[in-house]
Amino acid sequence: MADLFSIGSSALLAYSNALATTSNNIANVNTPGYTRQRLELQSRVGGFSGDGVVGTGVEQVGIQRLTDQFINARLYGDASGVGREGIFSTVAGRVDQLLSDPNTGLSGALSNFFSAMDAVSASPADPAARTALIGAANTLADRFNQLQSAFGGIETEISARLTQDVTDVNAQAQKIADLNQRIALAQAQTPGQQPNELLDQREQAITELAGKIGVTTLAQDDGSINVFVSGHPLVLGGAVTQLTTAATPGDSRGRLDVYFGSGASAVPLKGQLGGEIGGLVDSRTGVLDPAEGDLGRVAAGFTQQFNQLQAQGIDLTGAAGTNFFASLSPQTQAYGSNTGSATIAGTYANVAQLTGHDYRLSYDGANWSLTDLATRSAVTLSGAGTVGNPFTADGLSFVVSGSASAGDSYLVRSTSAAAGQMAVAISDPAKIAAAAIGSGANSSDNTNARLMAALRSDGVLDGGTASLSQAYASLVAANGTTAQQAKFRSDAQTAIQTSDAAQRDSVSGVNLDEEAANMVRFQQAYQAAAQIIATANAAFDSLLAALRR
Amino acid sequence: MSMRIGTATLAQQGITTILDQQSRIARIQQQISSGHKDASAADNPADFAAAIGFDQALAQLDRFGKNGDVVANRLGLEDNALSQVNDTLQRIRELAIEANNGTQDNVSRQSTIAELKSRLQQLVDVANSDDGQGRFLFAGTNDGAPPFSFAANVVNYAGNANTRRIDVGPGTSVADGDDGQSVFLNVTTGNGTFAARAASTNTGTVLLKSAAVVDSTQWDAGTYAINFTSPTTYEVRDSGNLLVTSGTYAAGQAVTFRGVSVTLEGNAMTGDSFSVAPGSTSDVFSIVQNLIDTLNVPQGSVAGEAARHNAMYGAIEDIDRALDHIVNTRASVGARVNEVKDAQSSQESLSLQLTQSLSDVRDTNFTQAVSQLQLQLTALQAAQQSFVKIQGLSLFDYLR
Repeated sequence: MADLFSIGSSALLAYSNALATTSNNIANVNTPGYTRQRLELQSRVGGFSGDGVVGTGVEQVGIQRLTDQFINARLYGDASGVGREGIFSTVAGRVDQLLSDPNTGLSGALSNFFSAMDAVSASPADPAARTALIGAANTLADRFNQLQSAFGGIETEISARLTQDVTDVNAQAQKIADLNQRIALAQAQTPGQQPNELLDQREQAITELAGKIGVTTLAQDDGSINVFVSGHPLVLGGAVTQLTTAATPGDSRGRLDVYFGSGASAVPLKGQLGGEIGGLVDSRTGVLDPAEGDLGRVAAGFTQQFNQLQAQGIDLTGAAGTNFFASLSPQTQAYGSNTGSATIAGTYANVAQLTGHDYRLSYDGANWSLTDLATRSAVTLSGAGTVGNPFTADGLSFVVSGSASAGDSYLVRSTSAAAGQMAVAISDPAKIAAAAIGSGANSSDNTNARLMAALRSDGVLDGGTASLSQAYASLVAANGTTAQQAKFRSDAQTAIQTSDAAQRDSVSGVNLDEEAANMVRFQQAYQAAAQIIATANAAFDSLLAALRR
Repeated sequence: MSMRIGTATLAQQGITTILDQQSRIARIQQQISSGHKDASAADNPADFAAAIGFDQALAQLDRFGKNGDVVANRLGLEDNALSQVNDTLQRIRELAIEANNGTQDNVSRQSTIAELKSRLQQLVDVANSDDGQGRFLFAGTNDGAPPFSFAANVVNYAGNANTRRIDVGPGTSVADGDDGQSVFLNVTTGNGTFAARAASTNTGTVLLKSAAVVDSTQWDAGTYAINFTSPTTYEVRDSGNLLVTSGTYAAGQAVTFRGVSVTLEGNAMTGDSFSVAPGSTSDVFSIVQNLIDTLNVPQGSVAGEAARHNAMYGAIEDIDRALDHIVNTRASVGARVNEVKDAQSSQESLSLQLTQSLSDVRDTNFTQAVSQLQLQLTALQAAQQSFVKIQGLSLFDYLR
């Protein structure tokens, strides 16, 4: 009869724990990363008696996490994809909005400018038409400036986000390392029992880390997980190597690069990084650079062509036309690591050949070489770099002055800074050179003004095939396509993540109906077990009563 | 076995569906309220870029239309001025014919001469008229100052021979005026082909009645002289003094040679001579001045009267040429106004087509959008109702 008490109490304890586990599941129904738990039971091995093997009750094996490590690994990838595509799509969407919005885009200002130009060609000596043209030109230049500064704002925000993300990555990596240590310790102390909550926390931490930067993981025998970023070990057991940021060499717009490690041993992170950091880095080369470069190309082409026409004409005072727009040039910036004293002066040699890309001009001690940073390919330089025979390539020309040391490099922004430099150089309406060469002062000849107005539809860029407004329209379309595809990819990644998360939840998620059923089940079992104690007690009492007689 | 669903997943899915529906509704709402189907290029890059192209083309057409108005306005001003020139020349012609009448004497002619002088000044004033904005109509492109001055019988033109062409359509440009040189300084004198003139040494009373081309294929633009060898005979000699033809003179009978015919009337004297030569180029003002000068010579004798008549014949012929020249210029102005109108009306239809194309790539199809909105609203309602239904179901409700 003593066994009955033992069986009953084993059941009471087991179902009390089962109810506690169920309650814990219910309590964590909305906890992110929580994995549902189940009390594993097995029948206790019975004692042998002459009548056969009589069971001795129920035994609690342990509290199991219901998880699938393969789905979890997929979710790390999903978090990284969603992080990357989400931020990329956001940046592309913002640039798209800037270019598409009639209040910020160029289209309206460009057509207003040419309409004002047409008005000057119709009434070349009319001061009102001339003044209106200067006004339209200022508005147009302002639009170029505003777009460039809006791009600059996005650039600054990307750098700020990168800095924040790198801080988050380091904090998250530290958290994972700490959890690794605690899990390894717990598993060493109580072999066979899992520290469920710690494991949940670590999975959640890795998912959050993957949202910031793409990771690969490798489980270790002691229960810890090593985390790698682009092949570099970010977390090894309890040890962390931090990520750092540093300014891109030669860059003046505040662009940052991400490095693995710090100080002299820092290695630049290359390739597709994944996560938000990957999205930020890729959005600069995939969205900002082409948009800024192409916008600058329109600015450079427009400025140069218009100034050329202006120089071919005679203004209202009878003098030859001077620059209408301030003349633009490619921006060259020496790397901070340069040891030589050479400076590079760049000019636009042929706007029709401009690519809009950024370049690196390098000196190896004997020769200069040019690398297109957008295509990562070498560009052939012709010429000698002297004033009489400058280097030329891709519509640019360079003159080197001073002496360079081997290993010196320069960042060349062919047109990506041009839109910001755009400015109207004349304020006197009389300075518009509407008349042909040979005309006198106060002439109402419009020969040159007609040529200027025809610039509206003349092929100026892309080897002479694209007019300014066509080049702008294709810039808007190209960026729109990028934004559209980024949104598609982002939506697709989110859908994949949702589907994988549903799959994870089908294994690990808490279902309240299921828990309710379990609760009823365990409650009933608990009540029945209590009845065993009562029965045992009654049986024992009747035995005592029999003896008392 | 069917898939387990986490309770949180179920709720999240329901919310995601509702949010998704709401964002679609917001999108349609934006399409309807803005009238544009695409909010930015990302929604449809090709259509958006095409719309930019159409916008530019429409702006250009609009500008061509305005240029056309400017040209039409200027040509209107020019035509107005030319019509004044025409009227003035007509009046001068009337005065000339009146003054040439035999009933007039040297004194009565003076009042006609006074009016002719003021009419001449009027012509100079019209030639110096401006467009109301300080730009002179007949100065070419050098139109900042009055182009014409006429003093001491000499016309001085300070403008140039350039005209402005203004674009009034794709590939269509029209001159918005005519320079003063071509309007006032390029008048061919005579009858348009040649001028027949009496020699100032004539002593008879032979008058020029008419001079015309009868066969233009024979006219060689040479210089000829009709010489009276006696009061009843004449001969025609060319510039090399070679005899071309000769005949008997009868008053009122035409002398015909080299495709031209000259009709003379009156009594000839031996030695009287008439010249036939290609018309020269003169200007409107000098032609009128010449008329005044001719009238201003007092004549008493019969031969003198004949000389004045012959001189007046030439002077009036020249006035007619000036009138022809002005009429031709006005016709060209009218043709250009028509050209502008043509260009404008063809642009209007082109602009209509472009607006349609622009609408196709940019505007919201309202019928479609509104029916889509209805559909989405129904879907949202369904999603909300099913969410509430599903969330309201819990086994715990039955545990009492």
